[in-house]
Formats: sequence, structure tokens, C-alpha cells
Amino acid sequence: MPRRLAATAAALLLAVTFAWGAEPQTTPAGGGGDKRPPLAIDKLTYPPLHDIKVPAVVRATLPNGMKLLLVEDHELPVIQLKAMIRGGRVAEPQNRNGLVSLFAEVLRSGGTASMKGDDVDVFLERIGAEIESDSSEAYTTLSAKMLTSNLDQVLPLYAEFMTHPAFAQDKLDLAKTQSMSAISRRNDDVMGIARRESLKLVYGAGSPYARQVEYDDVEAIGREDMVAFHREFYRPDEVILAAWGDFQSADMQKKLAEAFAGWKAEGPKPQIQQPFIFPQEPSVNYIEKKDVEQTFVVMGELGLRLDDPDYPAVAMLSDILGGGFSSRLFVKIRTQKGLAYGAGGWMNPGYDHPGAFFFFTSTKPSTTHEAMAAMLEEIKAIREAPVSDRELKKAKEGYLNGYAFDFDSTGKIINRLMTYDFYGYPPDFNTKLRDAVEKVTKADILRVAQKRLDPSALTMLAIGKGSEFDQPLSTFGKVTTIDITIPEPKPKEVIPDPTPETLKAGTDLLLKTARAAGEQALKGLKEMTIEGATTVKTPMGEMEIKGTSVLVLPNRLHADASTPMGTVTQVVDGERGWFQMGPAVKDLPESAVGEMRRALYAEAGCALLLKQVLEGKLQGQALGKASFEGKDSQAVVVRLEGQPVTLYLTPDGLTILGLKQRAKTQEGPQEVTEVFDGWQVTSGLKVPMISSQKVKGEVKTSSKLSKVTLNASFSEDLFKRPPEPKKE
Amino acid sequence: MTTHRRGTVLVLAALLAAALALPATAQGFKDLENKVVEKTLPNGLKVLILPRPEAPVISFVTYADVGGVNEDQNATGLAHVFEHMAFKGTTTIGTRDYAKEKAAMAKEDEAFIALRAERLRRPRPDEAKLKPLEEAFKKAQADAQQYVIPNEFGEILDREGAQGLNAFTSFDQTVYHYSLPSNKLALWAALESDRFTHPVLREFYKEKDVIMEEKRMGESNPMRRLFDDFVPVAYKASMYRSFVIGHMSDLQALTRTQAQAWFDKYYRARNLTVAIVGDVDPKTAMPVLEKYLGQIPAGTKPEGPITVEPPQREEKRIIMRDPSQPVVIIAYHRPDVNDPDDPVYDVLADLLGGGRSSRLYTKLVKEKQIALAAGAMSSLGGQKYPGLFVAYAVANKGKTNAENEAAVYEELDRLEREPVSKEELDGVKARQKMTFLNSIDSNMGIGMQLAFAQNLQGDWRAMFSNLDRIDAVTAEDVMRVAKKTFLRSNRTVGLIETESGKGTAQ
Repeated sequence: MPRRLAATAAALLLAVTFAWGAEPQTTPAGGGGDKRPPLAIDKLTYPPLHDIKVPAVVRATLPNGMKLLLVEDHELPVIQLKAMIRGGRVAEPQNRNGLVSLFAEVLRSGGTASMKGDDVDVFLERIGAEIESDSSEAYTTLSAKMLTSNLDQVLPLYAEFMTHPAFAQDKLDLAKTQSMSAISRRNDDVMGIARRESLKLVYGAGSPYARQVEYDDVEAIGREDMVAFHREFYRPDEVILAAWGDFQSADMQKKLAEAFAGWKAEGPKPQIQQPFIFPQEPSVNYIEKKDVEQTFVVMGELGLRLDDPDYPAVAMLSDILGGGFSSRLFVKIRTQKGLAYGAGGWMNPGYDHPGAFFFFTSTKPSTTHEAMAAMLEEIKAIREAPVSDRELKKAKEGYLNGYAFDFDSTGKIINRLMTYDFYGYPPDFNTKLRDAVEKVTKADILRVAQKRLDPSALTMLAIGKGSEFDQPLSTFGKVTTIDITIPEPKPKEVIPDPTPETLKAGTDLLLKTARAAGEQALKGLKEMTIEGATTVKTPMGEMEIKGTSVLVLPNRLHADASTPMGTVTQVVDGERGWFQMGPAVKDLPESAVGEMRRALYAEAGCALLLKQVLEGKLQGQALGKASFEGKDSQAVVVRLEGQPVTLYLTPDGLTILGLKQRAKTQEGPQEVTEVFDGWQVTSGLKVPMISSQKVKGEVKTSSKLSKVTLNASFSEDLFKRPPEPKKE
Repeated sequence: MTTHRRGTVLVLAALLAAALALPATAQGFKDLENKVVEKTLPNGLKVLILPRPEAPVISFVTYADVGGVNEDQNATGLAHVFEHMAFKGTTTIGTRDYAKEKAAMAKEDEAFIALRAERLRRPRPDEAKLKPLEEAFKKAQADAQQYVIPNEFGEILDREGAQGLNAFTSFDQTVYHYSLPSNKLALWAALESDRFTHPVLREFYKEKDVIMEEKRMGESNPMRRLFDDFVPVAYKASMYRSFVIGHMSDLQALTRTQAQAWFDKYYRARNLTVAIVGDVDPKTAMPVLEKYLGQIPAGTKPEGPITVEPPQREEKRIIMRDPSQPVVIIAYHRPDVNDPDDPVYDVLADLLGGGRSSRLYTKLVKEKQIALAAGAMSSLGGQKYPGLFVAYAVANKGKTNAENEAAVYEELDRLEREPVSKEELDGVKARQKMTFLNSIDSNMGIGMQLAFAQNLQGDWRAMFSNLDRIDAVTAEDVMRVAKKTFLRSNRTVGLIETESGKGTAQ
């Protein structure tokens, strides 16, 4: 929004502020006025604090399942609405990295079924009202703000944005262009680089809590993805709607009920799979950036959830260590050494996943090592000896004295309640937290420091001009240089439009391949049981997965895999799919089911694909001669559920060398190459016993089959979904 | 899901409603205005109190009517350096033994002045002399440091539950602010009185190092670099051409004596305003404020800068070649905040850049898709003296500054040529009202507004009457002011032209 940009630019240029980074919370420090007479202010006595008045909150649930929270506040003639809708970044389908932020953008800019986005802009701005949409990891939001007198004009439009957004194609195109433009400039801002890369170092580059969006990701997103996301997640029983401001609650409840009366939830609620966070290796990382005057340093480590029993002690720990003007890091790096303007850090907890510790500073290149060493020293020191009574007292008093600010605006109160509701926290969680903080002891802090803050597990990052550092970064460990070059968009794969000639040539070639693979076996194929082992490269090293897959034609799969984390079962039954790990059973998102279903075609040397060709259900399109992995080949493209897959055959057409297709990988959607080898004949069918998958020339997985059986009998129980696990 | 069609009805209803929307009036804010209690203490310090008892917290603003504009050549950055020093404590807070500390600081100053003299010697410093001088200074610094209790001022406030303890320095003002639980009004009054009556500028030289890091940090931002070069070109004489953060040379040379003199001149009661908003009863609060803030010496109201920016003769243009994205900013000289046309500039900025339906956003971002962002600011930098009106655009990928600059001029020309429609103007007025409402939805927001209006416009009531002034703006005003302002000879253009050769190729 232009206004916001203007304000930011103005603030940046005009004012020079005292503190750096987030608003410092409370803090204490060393020192102490030993031999001094008491200060005059120490003699001040304070009257008891006025009672905290918690405004009356009206809670209601509409017949369609939408939860309401209403708070009256008549000070200003303004009404605000905010809805949280379950399903955010974490719920992005595979292959659709970056969908949710574009979704939120286009939800608003694209207008509604009855009003174009540009008309909405004019309409709202002529009455000084706003409707905005935003996204986060776990949810999207839809908010509105208006003068009281405009409620009746804005509310129907607000409801229509929720229920019937248009996702106009031209606004999606605009949002995509802007998003790509933003990608192209993302390395201009050093703070942005620091934020982004340090998240990736802590959570892993593929995690929804860290992954970045690339040109190709944006390119892949279409209007149908927005529509599908809306259809899946926007349903009244997944919405918490808060209203606060200048209204009568009963009246507002009635109006909201009317505005959303026609909206009903259909089918079961979508299941959102909480992402698994792979702990990352400790590391020392360097990014070269020559156009900055300072080195920007971040040290990070996985933290904990807000409801973790250790959190209250960790909050005090992180406050004492890095939380403000008198924290240890600030005092050491800024006050005592004068090395930096800002220095500090804290543990930012997550509501439903572990948050992270981040410690940061920025200093001139020639004091980089000195500042980093000082930072490490303080992190180590707090694990070696208990904090002082004085430090703990100040941290606690600061926290407890600040509690009144939890209630200093209606917006703050209602947003907190709504967030607690959303994550299933009790409404008085902040009060419980305050009580828990009150009980924290020095021993607790030492215990959590030793348990939760491991200096040897830190991921360190320094961004700047390495050649000017006072000492090389390698004094902290083996240095990884991170290349932040923005990956160029992949040139669009040009598959020429099929002609009758190329279709015939391609299909003929595949028929030849199918016959060579075993015509009779393919025709009679109903079931395949495949046993083998797959080696997967992960950020933590190689992992071997042994497993058995039962593939029942045309579209069912039951796969059991034993992994170092336990046995995982994945099942696809046509349109549906689920996976089970321990007692937990989760439905697979629609897109993942589609991806797995398509993968079935390629199993056992593309057996299913070739069978379909033999049966006249699938056509190939000849692309002519091509080189595949350094070998001459003939390329044929087939479309599986609309997605192109290119097969590379030996020049005689008798054997499949491998295939290429776009697929989801840890680094986002990429071209994946699959190479077949070790062909053997089993029950009349030629099957490659060895296969490997490569991304950008690097082998990511390799599989070795030990046994392939055709048409064995199987139990239908394999495809029965286990009962719902108990809700946590 | 079915799509229900009620399109036309809703569109019509919406447009009708928009047409009927009443222009904003300040009438609705009379209640708030009537609650403000104003008092000038005998020493001349202005107190503004607005009770808002909903939550047991209070926000405090101390506004010093001094900023970068009051600085002199050779000592740029002084206003901001002093702001940092105001967190260093007093004769009682932050010291283990003030008498000894004072003596040690005097020696530290002596050592620094000797070192400074050698550093500034022309044609060149004597390297042989520099080293011992540096060592002597370091030693004196260490001696003084032993009496310091670091950050005690901030620590006390942290412990008492202060929120948002901070300050900022701008061209026109230096503002100190934080919030406390409301039973601690006396603590604020005592601390604020102490820091502006008996400040001790301890750790002065080390704090300058911190400020130099702050400057480097700011300069890591390409927009900041552009403005650093752009603003002094736009101004030829006005002190707005200076840098609030200061030049590196000046920061290195500044002495504690200069900062103390700055304090003695500008931090006197007659030059200070406090605004207190929250759970406060003016009746019981006033004696407390009088007791503590009444101790600040009255002083005299200092004289402001004399130099006036002369009219510009011809367009000026600066180009910064940088690896970052292309940006164009176009600045026009405009009168100060007390000029009768001031509200017209607010309207112009809103028409051009306020929201998704604004002219620059609509044309450059939505229609032509040549910009990622585009907008306008009614004033850049200070407002107390004649300043700058700014329009800007950030080029979209593959688009140029030239396209954007031309498109901005087209829109500015249109403002001179065609009267703005009543609907559009009413929309601006409604938005301005909403913007104002947004700015007063917190204790701190209201406190800032009160203090700013009191100082920049001479009366805190202006905070409310500004809306009336905006309401009175007509389509003719908009055209007239556009015509007199958007002249080629009145503008300065600043560009970032992307060139990957410099720095990283990112």
C-alpha cells in the first residue's frame, strides 16, 4: 500500500531513533550501586494499580458454525472486523509454494462476484473504509475498518469477500508480476537477507516456516489454485470472526448472522498436516555483500512453543540475555564495547510449533569477530552460572509490571483472545503465564539455559565484507558460503503442439516399448507387489528406507516404509489418500494424492503407463531425437492427468532409459530426472531393479528393488482408512 | 458453491452510498478535545493531560523544541548525540560516586581535546604525537568508566514495567517517550525532571562510537543513501539540508562540552512540552508534576535558524548508480505547516498516493504496471520551516525510471488542468478523517499528536482543527496549489539507476 510505504520511507529518513530492532521488552543487567546512598526514586511509594478492566466479550456461534467474538468500545466512531480462517502457509499444497500470500493479495484486489476490485477500491476509499486480507503460517485473515455510520454499506461487501471472492485473472497477473519483481529485489535489503537466511538455517530451507518463494513457484500458481484453496479452507466452521468498536453487541450479532446466513459448511473439515521440523546441523555461514557498511550477524537455534512448561523460564532467560537496554548482550556489545548500535536477541515462541532463538548485532567489518565472540561468550556464560538475584528480580518485575499493557486497547485484547481460541489456548493464558513467570527461580533459568540453549548447536550467519573482518570467520568453525544469487526462472519447456503425425509416431514407439516389456504380462497386470530399499539424501545425511508397496490397478497404492523415525504407511485410494505414522492418521492433501497417483504410472519401469498405451487409453507424442544422461535417445511426451512427462527411449525404442518431469522437491518444484537400470524379467515383465532420481544433476534418491511379484492376492484391508485418531 | 448474482444492486448501492458520504467534520472529537487539561508551569514548561482511564496505564511524551535544524556546520549530529546522552543517567542515577566521576570526566575531556587538536592539525597530524595522545585518552576513558553503572536509567524503567522506552531526533524536534503502569506517574515525573535538570553526559565518547555504527547501519539501506545525497541537493540554504545523524567527521570531533552547551541552551523549561495520556487524574497529577517538573530551570526560548531557502532557479537532478532497484523521487519546494495552503498539500498527497484508488497507484501500479509502488508525501523532513512535497515511484521489474517519471508528471499535470471531482475530494476528506482516527487510537498516538500540534502549530487544538482545515479545501485550491508548486523549476529529481557493477551483483 502506498501510504504504508510513504510512512515507512518518511520514518526511515527523518527520524533517528534510539533503539534498534523490535521494541525492547523488559530488562536488567550487572553492575549495582554498592556503596551509594539510596536513590530518591527508591523512596517513592506507589498507590495500588487501578483494577484492570477487562471489557465484556460476547461470544456466540452462528448456526453455520462461525464463531463470533464481540467487544463494544464507544470511544471513537469506528468499527473493526477481523476474521481468522484456518489454513495458511503450512497448508499450501505441494508444488504451490507461495500460494497463500498471493491468495491473500488477490482475495482482496480481485474483487467479488458482484463488484470488481478497482470499484471496491474506489467505493471503500470514498468513505474512508478499508477491507484487507493477509496471511500467516497457520491462517489467513480478512479485516475491515470503517466509520460506524458506514457499517451497513461495508458489511455486505466484507461478507462477499469471504464467501464469493472473484480472484480476477488480471489482478492475479498483476500480483504475480509484483511478486516476481519483489523476488528480483530481495537482496537489496540486508536486513531482509538476514531474516530470511537465518530462518532457513534454523528450520531448513524446505520448511514452511522458512522456505522462500522463487520465480518458478510464482509462475506455477494459477487462478484455479486460489479457487481450490478458497473452496477447501473458507468455510464458516473454520472461521473465528471478531468485531470491536462502536456498536451494540446484540445488534452486531444480528447483522453478522444476516450477512453470513446463506453460507454453509459442506463435507468434513480439511485436515492440515503440521509440518515436521528437521533439526538442522550447527553451522557457520557467510554471505558476501559489498554494498553494506557493517557486518550483520545472526545466531539462531530452534526454540520452543509458547505453551511449553519451560517457556516462562526461557522468557526470563532470553530477557536477561538479550531483551533490552540493560540485557547482557546489549551491555557487553554496545554499552561496554561500543561495537554496535543494536545488540540483543530473544526466543520468539510459536503457538503450534517450536519458535526460535535469534541473537543479532551489526558492527563495522573490522570488529566482526570481536562482536561475535562477545555474543558467544555471553550465551555460554548464562549456562555456566545462575543469573544474579538482581537480574532475575528485574526481569520478573519488568514482566509483571508490564502485564497491564496486555489490556491497554480493545484491539489488543480481542486479537489476543481470538488467537488463543484459534490455537486452542485458554482465554486467560496470559494470566496463567504471568503467574508462572512469578514462580521462576534462578535454578529454573540455569536448567532451561542448559537444556534449551546450546551454544554448540547455533547456526551462525555473518553478512558483509569478509575480506575486512578482523579475524576470519573460520575461527568459529567450517564456513559455508551461502550463494544468494536469485535463481533465474526456468525457461519455459517448449513442448510443441501435438500433430496427428507426432501423436502417431509417439504412440507407435511406446507400443513397441510395451511389447518389448512383455505384452501379455502387461495386459494381464492387476496387481504388483514391490519390495526394496531407497536411499534418500536429507540435510542430515543419507537415510535408508526399506519398504513394500502394493499397487492395485488402476489407482490404488499401499506403501509401508520403515524409516529411522518409525514405520510410515501411505495409502492412495483413487481420489483419497492418507498416511499413518504411529497412531496418528492424517489425510493427504488433494494435490499430494494427485502427485502420488501420477507417480504410480512410472512404477516398475512405467508398467502402468505402458499398459494404458497397449489398451489404447494413453497416447504418446514423439519429440524426436534427444540426449538423455549422455546417451542418444528418442523422446516421447505423455500427459498424465494433464501434466507432461517426457520418456526417453533407447534409439531402437525397446527400452526406457528414464524420464523427466516437474515435481515437488525440498527446494520447491524442480525438474526431476529418473534414470532406470538393472532390467530383469519377472513373470514375463521387464522391470528395472535399479532407479535413481536426480535434481540439477545431483542424485537425491536411489532405489534398489529386491523382489517384484505380479498379481498376488491382497487384502482389501490395506485400503481401509484406520479410525480417526483422538484429537490432541 | 454457487455464485449468486446481485452485482448491479450492490454496485449501485455502493456508489450511491459513496456519493452521500458526508465530509468529515471535527464535531465528533469535541468530547475528546474538552477532556484535555492544559497548564503552563511557573517555569514555562507546558503540560498537556488527557485522561483516558480505560486501562491502568499512561503514555508520556516529552517534546523538546530542538532538532537537526538548530545545528551548526562542524557540529552536525549534535541534537541526536544529546538524545542518546539523555539515557545515560544523572548526578545520582548511573554513578557509583559522582564527585570522583566528575573529576575523572574532566580529565577525559582534557585528554580528548588534546587528541582532537592533534587530529585536526593542518597540514597533517604528527603521527608520533597521536599515539601517546590516544593512549592517554584511552586511559582517561577507562578511569571515568569505573564510576559508571551502565544503563541504570533504562534498567530502573525496565524493572518498573516501562514499555517502548525510546526517543527520536528529527529536523524539528527531539522527542522522548515511554509508557508506565498508571500508579507510577510520580516515577516518570521524578526521572524526567532529574534527567532534564541534572543530566550527566557519561560514556560520551563511547556512545559516539555507537552512533557511528547507527550511521553505518542506516547507510546500508540504499533508499537512505539516496536521500542522503538527494536532500542537500534539493535545498541550497535551509538547515533541512543537513543530516540529523551527522557527518562522520563531525561525530568524531564532537566534545562533551558541546553537548552540555546544547543541553544548557535547548533543554530549558520554556522549550519543553510534556503530554500525558491515559489513566491519569489531572487534579491529583498536577501537584506531582509541579513538584518535579517545576525544578527544571526556566531558561529563555532559544532563537531558531535564520537562513531562509531562496527560490529555486531551475530543475536539479541527481543520479545514484547502485545495485538496488530503480527508484525515482521528485521533490517540490512547499511552504511550512502554518501556511494557509498546508492542508491543500495534505489533500494533494492523498489524491496522488493515498490508498489503492489514488491516482499514482491506479495509473502506475494497476493500469500501466510500470511501478511496484508509487505515492506521495505532503512533506519530507521538517514541517516547521518551508519544506518539500514528494512524489515517488519504484519501478516494476523490467521497467525504467524514465517511464515512471513521465507517468508521474502526467498525473501532476492533470491536477493542474482538471478540477478534481467532488466525489474524489470527499473521498480524500473521509480518508483523512480515518487516518486521524487511526492516529488517536492509543495513548501514545494521542500524546504525540498533542505535543506536535502544540509545538509546530502553536496550539494543541490544531490537532483537531486540522481536519476542519482539510474539509475547507476546494477543487480550486487543489488546482491553484498544484499550478504554483509543480513547476519544473521548482523540482529536484533523484534517481537510483540500477547498476550491478557496484558492490554485489545482487
